[in-house]
Amino acid sequence: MKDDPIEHVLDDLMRLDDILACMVARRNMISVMPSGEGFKPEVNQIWDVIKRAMDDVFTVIREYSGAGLGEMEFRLQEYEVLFYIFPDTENALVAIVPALANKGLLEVEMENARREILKSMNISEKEKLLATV
Amino acid sequence: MIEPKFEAAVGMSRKWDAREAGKEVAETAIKKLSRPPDFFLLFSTIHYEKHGGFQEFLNGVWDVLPKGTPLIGGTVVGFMNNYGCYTRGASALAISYSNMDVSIGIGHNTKRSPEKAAKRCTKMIKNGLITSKYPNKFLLSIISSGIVPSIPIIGRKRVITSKYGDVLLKTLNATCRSLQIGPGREDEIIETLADELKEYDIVGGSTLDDNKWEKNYQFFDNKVFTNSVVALGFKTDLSWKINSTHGLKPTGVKIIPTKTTLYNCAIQRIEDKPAAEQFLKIVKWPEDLFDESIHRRTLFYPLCYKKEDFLCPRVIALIIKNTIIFTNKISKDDDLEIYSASGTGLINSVKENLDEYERNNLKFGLVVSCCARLEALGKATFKEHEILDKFYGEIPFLVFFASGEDVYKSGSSPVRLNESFNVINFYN
Repeated sequence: MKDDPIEHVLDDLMRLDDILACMVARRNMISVMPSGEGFKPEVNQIWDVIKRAMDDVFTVIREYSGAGLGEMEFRLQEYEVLFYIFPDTENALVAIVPALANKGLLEVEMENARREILKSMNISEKEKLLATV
Repeated sequence: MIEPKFEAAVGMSRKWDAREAGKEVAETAIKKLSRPPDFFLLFSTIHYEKHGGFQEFLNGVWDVLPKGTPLIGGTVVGFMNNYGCYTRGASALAISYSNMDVSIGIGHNTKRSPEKAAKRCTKMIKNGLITSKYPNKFLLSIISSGIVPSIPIIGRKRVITSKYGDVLLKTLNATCRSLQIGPGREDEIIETLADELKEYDIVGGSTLDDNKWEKNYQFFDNKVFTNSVVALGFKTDLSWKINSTHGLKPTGVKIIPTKTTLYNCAIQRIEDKPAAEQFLKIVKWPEDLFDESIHRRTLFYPLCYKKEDFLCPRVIALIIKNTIIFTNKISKDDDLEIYSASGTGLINSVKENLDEYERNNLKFGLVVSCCARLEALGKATFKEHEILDKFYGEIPFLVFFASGEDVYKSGSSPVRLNESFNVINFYN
């Protein structure tokens, strides 16, 4: 199976202590997950409610992504969920972090990850186009 | 006559394995130089501690770096360079220039004996440059920052209100000396460095982890240290200009400390009343804002005092009972004023800083900025990078985010800063 560059980006994020889970997702669908051991265990206990809240946020993302919505976040119990939206799409890079994490530092690496993923997406779009020519 | 050749190069690695990252950060810098570097500045985030360790990281650097190259550095919260903006990875600045003499120095036990450490460090620098004939003298200092104490049962807390608080406060002076936990005492170090090296311009910053204030490391030659000051001094015919900006705005709200402790890093009483209670009253904050987010919250409301031309901001690090503890020294002789920071103000201060510089004959830029700015701006730090990228273009530059910044311009007083953006641009 071909290595997925987006998986690699997510694997890199998961190696940061305060990233408890990350994924590329849209409403009702996780498109890419990290390839390793998956999410960190503390997320499991709250995953169902976070997932439901995430789907509601994706409704907003679908509505306003075209208008330039860039990021969203919400805090649920002791966790924060960050959405870094891919411009003009319904997709976002999502990360779950502890509410007391140094979010500023994580934001920098989230943005680097979003840029890397966008680059990969653009490359695969170009490859698709070339294949159809 | 042969024209002296100047070369500067920035190295970078995003690899996770410590040894591989060390190799890559050195390789990416050195391959851009046509001759061996005359010095090598090395900065890394804390992550390599768990991925092979910092000795392996340095071993990787020395797998590539020519033997004998003067090297100093340490762990930082993040960095920016010609490649981008990062809070994970390693970066280096390698300089090669014939008209320059270089020396490195180190002093240990900075929290126990800051003056002694600084004197040992400066002695090594002076001895190393004793025969140099070049007129311009510069020193970069890297100092171990403070460590937040971890208390049994309580752990590492930002706000301690329990009965242990009193005990902790009483013992913090002692633990700083015995265990080297507590304030970094960088103010005392920069004062000694400036006193010993009066003719030098000095810029520096403190090493840190990922803003948790639990550990930090200094790099010197091929070894890793803790609780140390490392410095790189050079004499050269290059010239430079240092400019510091912050982008903070005064609020007019004054705080008058009347009793300080812990090497003047803590306020016990404000206007002769218990400090924490009185602070809340003055700023009209509810009591529940003193929670575990206090450090992050007060990044936007630093307490500042003026020293000559400099504004010296201080951010609240801890609250123990009714005592407010800062990462650095404040003085009970100086009234403090609360300033406010906004994202726009912080970002504009980068442009405002660089507007003071010419690009003609600019050789490289070194910037010491504050981890508080990085934490406060988060993703918006990329806007700072856009401004830097526009100014420097292909000219090598390296920004490292330290936990407090030091500036001494020969002939003036040394200052310890927080939340500042300090540019040193080098010209010939």
